[in-house]
Amino acid sequence: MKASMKWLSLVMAIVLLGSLFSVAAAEDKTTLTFMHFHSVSDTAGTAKAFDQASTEFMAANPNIEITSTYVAHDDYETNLKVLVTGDELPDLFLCKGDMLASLANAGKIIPVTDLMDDAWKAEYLDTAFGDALVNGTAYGFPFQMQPNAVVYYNKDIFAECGVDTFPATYAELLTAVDKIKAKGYTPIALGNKDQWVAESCLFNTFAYRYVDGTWFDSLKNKTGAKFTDPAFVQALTDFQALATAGAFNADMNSINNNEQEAMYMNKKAAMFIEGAWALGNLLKDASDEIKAATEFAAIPAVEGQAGGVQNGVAGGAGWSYVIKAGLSDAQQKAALDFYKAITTGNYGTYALEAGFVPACKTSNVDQSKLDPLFAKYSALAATWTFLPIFDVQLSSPVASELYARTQELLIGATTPQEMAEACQSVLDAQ
Amino acid sequence: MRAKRRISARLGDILQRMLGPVETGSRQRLRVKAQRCRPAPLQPRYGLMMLPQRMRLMLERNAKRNLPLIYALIGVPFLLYIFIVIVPLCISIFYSLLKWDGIGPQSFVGFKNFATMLKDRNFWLSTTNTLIISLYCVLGQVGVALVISFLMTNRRLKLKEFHRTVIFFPVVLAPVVIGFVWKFVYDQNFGLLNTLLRALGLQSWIRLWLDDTSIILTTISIPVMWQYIGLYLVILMGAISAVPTEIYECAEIDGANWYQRSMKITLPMIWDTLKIAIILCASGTMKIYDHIYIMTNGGPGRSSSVLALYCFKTTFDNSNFGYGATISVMLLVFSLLISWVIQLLMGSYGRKNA
Repeated sequence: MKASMKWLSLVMAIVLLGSLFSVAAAEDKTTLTFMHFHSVSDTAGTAKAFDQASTEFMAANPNIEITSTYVAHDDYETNLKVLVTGDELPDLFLCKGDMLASLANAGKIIPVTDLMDDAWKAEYLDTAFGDALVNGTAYGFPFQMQPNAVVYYNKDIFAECGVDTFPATYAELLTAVDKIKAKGYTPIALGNKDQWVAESCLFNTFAYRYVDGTWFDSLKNKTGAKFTDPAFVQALTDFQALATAGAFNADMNSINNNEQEAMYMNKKAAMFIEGAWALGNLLKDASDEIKAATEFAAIPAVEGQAGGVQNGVAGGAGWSYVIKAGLSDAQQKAALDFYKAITTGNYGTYALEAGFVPACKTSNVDQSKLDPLFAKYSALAATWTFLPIFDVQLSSPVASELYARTQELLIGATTPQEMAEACQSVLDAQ
Repeated sequence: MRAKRRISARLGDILQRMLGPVETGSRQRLRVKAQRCRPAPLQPRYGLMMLPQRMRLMLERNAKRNLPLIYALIGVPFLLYIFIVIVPLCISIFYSLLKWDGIGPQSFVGFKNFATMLKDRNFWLSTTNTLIISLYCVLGQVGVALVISFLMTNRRLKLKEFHRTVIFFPVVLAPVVIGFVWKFVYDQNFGLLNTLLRALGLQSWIRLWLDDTSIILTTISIPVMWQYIGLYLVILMGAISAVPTEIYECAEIDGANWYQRSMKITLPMIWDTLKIAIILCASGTMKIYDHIYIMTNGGPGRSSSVLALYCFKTTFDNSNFGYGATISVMLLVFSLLISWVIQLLMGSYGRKNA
């Protein structure tokens, strides 16, 4: 190679490198990176409402540039943990309650309570910040208030199997399961491949028929209550009995929650139990016949359990939008404006129209725009008491242990006592 | 001038070592046998001689002047290798001595993680599962590939290219894709496998393919075997094609049948390649992760958990980075151990036969 060519190539390489930096300097815009799990291609539920509100915000604020990254819900937490470890967190991101404390204690995210004025604070529902609190201070903005356990059932199938009303108690549920099975339907469709469905949507609320919110707080703060308490072990035992009685489909551990919904929509299953978010999918994908037959219920009460909350349901905000520590003032202001737009105001209306309850108060909603199915659900959900979600309030190692063990419990690979002890030992180690 | 020649000779030597397989005892013996069949000496086929003459001359002539270039060219991949393999490896070993949740402060706990590991039921379950799957894969991948490659030496077999391409095809697909495809194949209601069994009237054979803990290891091994048979087939066929055809011709004249030719000629001639293939397969399967993550995610419960998946879950789901690193270090140790054991077993067998 000639010497002149060598020099030329060196100069070109340097020019190339230099061009990387020129982009950043040019514009007078506030730029932010943002990570979330609202799929743009999803036209249902939270994703739809988010899309409407954020598009509106972007149009109104051309000087704020937000670069969004979408990560699928089931991979979201893992992705976030990788980013935390590599110290490559985006400026703004969605965070689940179980990770908030460790992020807050490590100083990676900022408290937001003092950044809101009173008018803004008043826009949220009273208990909305429950899952975003760390030692009494809010670190994130909630966007939904959803129960994790709603029973969606097909009244036509129930009638066909000779079950006239939805079972009010656990004993009645077991009888209903037998009757539905006899007609060849799957009583409860369950898609637990990703392990959170059985624990978070079914067992969590079922456990609240045996124990209450006070017990859970005591467990979480290690002030007496333990997983190994007889009431909790009894809850595990009865939950396992449900599986032994054949309430679930045999392939429950190789399909996921979308497939569980599909089983219901294809009229293979008499019911499925999932969070209220599944309603959005149902409204979008189910046939009119299924929609007309769909009714809602709570997980049945258990008789003789004085310590439980029979109308309680695990639920709440679950996830909240947080702000990374160390942003500039302009960025922080832009972030707050953005979060305000995507959690309050018009967002509330969009949320109701998309078929879920937002974390903010809503007014002047055109009732005719709401789906009748959603209205039916809202009326029922109003009678429920919200209780803490195990896998949001406990730290993530305990949540993972609960997930894995619940799956083992359902296939009989672990006993209730073993599961309780294992979960307790992980909790003790924290 | 002399120095230059010495360097070029050494370079030639190095290149020869890099490009051509080292002569083994068995090959020498067979070559002698081949020479007896056909007196004409074999042309040297390996090493520098394989390069076009012009390039060979250029390399030899310019060796000294180009030394800096040669070192620079070797240096770049060498540095890359250090930074993407050696450095992370050392960091992993360091992490395995820590108690760390990935976010907060790190605290040094010495070998405590290793002590925990010895008593960890799930770790040993994952280890056993990994070893069983490795065994399945060595038999199912290299074993089947060996049989097919023997069949490919049969002259009466038509459409060899076609067979090879079809068998190799799954290798180019991403493991995640294979996982999804087979998840659908195994599906309970509309899966290919169950539909086929129903169509054939074999309803009694239908099992809960991905939910039955007693068969789960076999079910998840089959896609992995299916995917990589082609890779080992190509490796083994490459080795077989390097066996001089004269030997086969001789053997045929002497009346050796296909089985005898395969066992007495092909097998000893490709022994070294076979050894490499088995080591690659066994140590590669130790890292198996993607297929299982997609198909069962280690479930039901933890019955299909393997080391890499357990390491991943410990690290990212349980936020236990220190213990996760400990598992990955053990994964490395197991892989090295397996490679060493295979080397030991097959090496001695090879020598005995030489």
